[in-house]
Amino acid sequence: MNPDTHYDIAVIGSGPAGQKAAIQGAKAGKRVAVIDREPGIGGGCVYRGTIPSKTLRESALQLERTKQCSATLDIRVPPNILVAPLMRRVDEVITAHGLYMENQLKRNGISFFHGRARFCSSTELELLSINGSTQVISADTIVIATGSRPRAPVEIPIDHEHILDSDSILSMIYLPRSLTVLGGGVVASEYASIFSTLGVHVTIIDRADRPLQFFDKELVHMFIQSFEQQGGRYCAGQAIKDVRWDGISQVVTTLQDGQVIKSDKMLVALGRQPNLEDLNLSATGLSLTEKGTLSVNEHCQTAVPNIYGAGDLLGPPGLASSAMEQGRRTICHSLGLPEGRSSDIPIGIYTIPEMASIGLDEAAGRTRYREVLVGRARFDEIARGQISGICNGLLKLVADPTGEYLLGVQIIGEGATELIHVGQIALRHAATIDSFVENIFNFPTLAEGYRIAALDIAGQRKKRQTAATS
Amino acid sequence: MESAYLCGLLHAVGKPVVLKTVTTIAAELGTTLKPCAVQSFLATYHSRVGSLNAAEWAMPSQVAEAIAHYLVYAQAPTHRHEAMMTCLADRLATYLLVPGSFDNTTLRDHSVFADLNLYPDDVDKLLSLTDKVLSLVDSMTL
Repeated sequence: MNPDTHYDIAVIGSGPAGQKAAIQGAKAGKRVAVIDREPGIGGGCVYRGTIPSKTLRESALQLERTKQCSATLDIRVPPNILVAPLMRRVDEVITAHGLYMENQLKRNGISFFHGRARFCSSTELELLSINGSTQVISADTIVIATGSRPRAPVEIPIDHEHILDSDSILSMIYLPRSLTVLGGGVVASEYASIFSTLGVHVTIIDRADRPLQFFDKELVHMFIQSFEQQGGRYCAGQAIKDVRWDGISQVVTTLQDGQVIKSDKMLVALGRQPNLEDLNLSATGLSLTEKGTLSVNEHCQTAVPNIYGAGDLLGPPGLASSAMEQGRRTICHSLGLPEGRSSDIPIGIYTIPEMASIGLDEAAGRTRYREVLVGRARFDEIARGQISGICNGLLKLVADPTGEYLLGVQIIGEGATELIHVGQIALRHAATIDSFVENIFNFPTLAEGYRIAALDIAGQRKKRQTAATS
Repeated sequence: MESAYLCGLLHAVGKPVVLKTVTTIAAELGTTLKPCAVQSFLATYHSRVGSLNAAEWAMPSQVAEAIAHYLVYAQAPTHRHEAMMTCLADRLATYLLVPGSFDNTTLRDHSVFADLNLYPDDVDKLLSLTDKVLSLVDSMTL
C-alpha cells in the first residue's frame, strides 16, 4: 500500500451525497479523496438539475408577481422570448455555489481528483484523467455517489433539439409556444408548471390518473387545478403510441386512443437512470438490481462491506436532501460513529405553486390508524396570504384518531418548502396538536396556518367529545 | 443542442460577406487580388463581420459571441460554452472536410476537448461518427 495514494475514504461523485460523505469523513479526521468526472464540484444537481431549474422557476415567479401587480397593464410574455435572459443569474449562482463547495473541500483537507473512476478491486480505483493518463488509488472505504441521468426510453427519439430531456431542456434558445411533457413525476410537474407560468401552452401526458402519485391527493388536485387555470392541460391515463418530429416545426405525439397532440417542443421526463455503467463494478463482485440501481442495506452499505452507495443511484426519492443524509450516514456507519436517530426527510416539490410534505399524509395515516383527524388552513383565510397575494394554498395537519398528536403535515402554496420545517421540528419532538394553538406565531405570517389547522382539529375533537357524551 | 446548432451553422457567416466586399472593392479599384490576400482578408475580418451580422439580424446573443470568440473562446464574456462548442465543431469540420488540414493526433491536441470535458473515449465516439456525418453533409450539398 502506497501511503501517498492510499486514503481512508474515497468518494466517487461530488454531488450532494458525495459531498456530505466526504465532509463527514474529513470531520472525523480521516484522509479523504473525492473523484468526479466533471471539473467542477456539485454534480448534476448544480450544473443540470436543481440550481438551473430553480433559477428559471424564480424568473417565472417574478413574471407572475409582475403580472399580479400590474393587472391593468395586461402584461404578457412577448413571442420569441429568449431563454437565456430568464436564466441570467444561473452562472452567478453556479459560480458562487461552486466556489463555496470548493472552499469547503479545501478547508477540510479533502483531495479532489477530476477524472473517471473505475474499480480495479473492492479497495482500488483506477482514475482516468481528461488527458488520458491513469493512476491507481486505494481506500479502506469507498462511497459510490455518481448520481443519475434522465432515462431515455428507446421508443422516443430524443434529439435534444425538438424532443428534449431534463438535461437539455434549458439549452433551448427560444421559449417555445407550446410544450408537451411526458411523465407525471417531480421533474415533469416542476417544468410543466414553470413553463406554463411563463406563458407556454403545456400539455402533460401521463399514464397515471394523476401526477405525483406518492403525494397527498388533495394537494395534487389543487396543483392540477392551478396548472389548468394557467392554461395547461393534463391528459391522464394516456399511453404513447408514437412520437416524431415532423421535420418542419412540430413534435407530433400520437396517443394510444388516437388523439394527436402537436407542440413546438417536447420534454421527456420519464424517470432517471443511475450512473453506474462505467464503474466496472464486476471487479468488486457487486451487481445491480433489475432496475439498474445499487442494492444497499439500511446503512447504505452494499454486499461488499467496505463499499457504500448514496444518492440517486439507489433509486427514489431522488431528493438532494435525502442524498445528503445518505452520504452522511454511510460514513458514520463505516467509522462506527452514531448515525443519529432516523428521522423523516421532508419532501419539497418546486412546482408553481410549490408543495411540501413531512410525515404521514391523510391516506397513509388512514392506512396506519384507520381514522385520522385532518385540520386545514387555506392561505386565503390567512392575513399574510391576502396581503402577499398568496391565496392559492393549503396547509394540512394530520393528527392521530384522538386528535392529540401530529402525524404529518402537507402544504401547497408559495413558501411551502420553507413552512414545512415547522412541522418537521414538531414531528421530531412529538408535538401535540394543542402546542400549535398554545404557541404564538408572528402576525401576519403564513406560519399562522399551523395554528388555524390545529384549531380546526381541536374543533373536530370537541365535536366528537360532545357527540360521545350526548 | 439548439444553441450549438445555430452557433455552428452561422459561425462562418461573415466569410461570404467579406469575400463579396473584398472582391467588389477590388473590382472597383481595378486590381486583381491574389488568393493569399483574399485568405488573409477572410481570416482577419470574418469573425468580426459575422458577429456584427448576427447582432444586426437580432440573433440571440450567444450566436454573435460564438462567432466573435470561437477561436479564442477563453475570452468569450458570457457564452463561453457555446464558443467552445463552435470551436470544436469548426475543428472537426475542417478535419473531416479539408483533406490534409491536420492529422488525428493534431486534432486531439487542441485544448477545447479537455475544456469541454471530453475524455479520450468520448473523442473516439465522436470520430466514429465520421462516415455518418460525411454522408449527411453529402446529402445536404447543393
